Amino acid sequence: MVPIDTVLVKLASRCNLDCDYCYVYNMGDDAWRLQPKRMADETVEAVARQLAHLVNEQQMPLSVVFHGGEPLLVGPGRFEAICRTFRSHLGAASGLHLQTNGLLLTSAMIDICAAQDVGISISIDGPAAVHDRHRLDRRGQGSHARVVEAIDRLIAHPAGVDLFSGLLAVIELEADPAEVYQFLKSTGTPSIDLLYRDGNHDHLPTGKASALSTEYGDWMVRLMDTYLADRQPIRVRVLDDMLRLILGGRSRKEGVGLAEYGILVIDTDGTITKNDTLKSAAGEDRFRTSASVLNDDLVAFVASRDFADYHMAQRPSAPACLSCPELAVCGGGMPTHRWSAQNGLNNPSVFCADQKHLIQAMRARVSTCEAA
Amino acid sequence: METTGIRTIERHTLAGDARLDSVVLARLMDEVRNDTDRQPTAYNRMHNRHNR
Repeated sequence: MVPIDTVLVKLASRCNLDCDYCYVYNMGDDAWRLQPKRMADETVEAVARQLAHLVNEQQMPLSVVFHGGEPLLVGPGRFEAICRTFRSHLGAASGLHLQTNGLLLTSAMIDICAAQDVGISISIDGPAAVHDRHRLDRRGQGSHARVVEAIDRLIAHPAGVDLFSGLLAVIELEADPAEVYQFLKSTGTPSIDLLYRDGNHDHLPTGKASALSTEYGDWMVRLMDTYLADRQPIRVRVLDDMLRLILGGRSRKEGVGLAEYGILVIDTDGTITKNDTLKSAAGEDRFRTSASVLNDDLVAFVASRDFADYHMAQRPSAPACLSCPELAVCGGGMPTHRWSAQNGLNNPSVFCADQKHLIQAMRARVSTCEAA
Repeated sequence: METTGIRTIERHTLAGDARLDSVVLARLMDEVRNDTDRQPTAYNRMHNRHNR
């Protein structure tokens, strides 16, 4: 059975932001419309109970990530009950984590997170001019100022240092990466992580002229040079992961390196889905046989052939990847970025050239340091 | 626990007397050598590995 280390639980299928690049709402998949707006109490109970059984069976704790949509749309009362339910079923050994856009991260919500030891990650793309280009609310208004207020509120909280795991930014190629890094660092965050804009071989990510161009790689190299030159650096998770591999260590993130990872996604109605980012790949996130935590045994499903096939398919399989000298660092990237209608996931990442460019620059910087 | 107050990191060598003059690289090398990169902190929140 595939060991599961991370479980995304979609507490809400709707969002109070309308980010134009969102893989859930704005990349051609409308399955969210069929989902209940919030996860029902009986579904929460079923997810927590089934995960406790899974932890017991695999003899390994896991990390639950409250995700969405915007998970805090459930409201403070229900969020507290949900956290209590998961904590009581899973105990202290498993992690609880919240990925939020910050708009509803009130003091009361942070108190709940503190009481139940729920880590918090906030999505923000950089300075206001960068962030508000894409992350608008339902009235078309920018959200930046409210997100910064939420970050300040979290840092000021007595438990803020323990709870705040970092900021998550989607790359805007037109932004100056040094400016993005310095702004995010100035918020007081302990770490940042960067996401490439989603896309695939049939629909190139925004800003990429072709699969052979290196716009994202160029941007990341500039970010890396700022990071490496910083005498008081915070953490940049994706760069740390790749550099650690080059230095002989291990990666943590899904889609970096070749370490096995086991990720489950539970939709708002209790349906178990594949990697939800595959929504942007013609709805490839659905299993052949639908399964739900309400009607099916989660342990049996994770042990099924269907799940094993899906798990294997996440590994890079294209000949160009398997013979690539940088595969151990690149790892083939996120499966959704490998997709095409013609070959499914059997392609290099659409960011292959970007990743090669970045990895080669990393190796050059490490060599320079060695020789210094 | 990782915080914004960056802990002081001594310079480390990769091979021979070569020095790492990047705080980031020195920190990562220290983690790789001491196998501390898997210790749970607020930064990595245990086994949380998702990328979205």
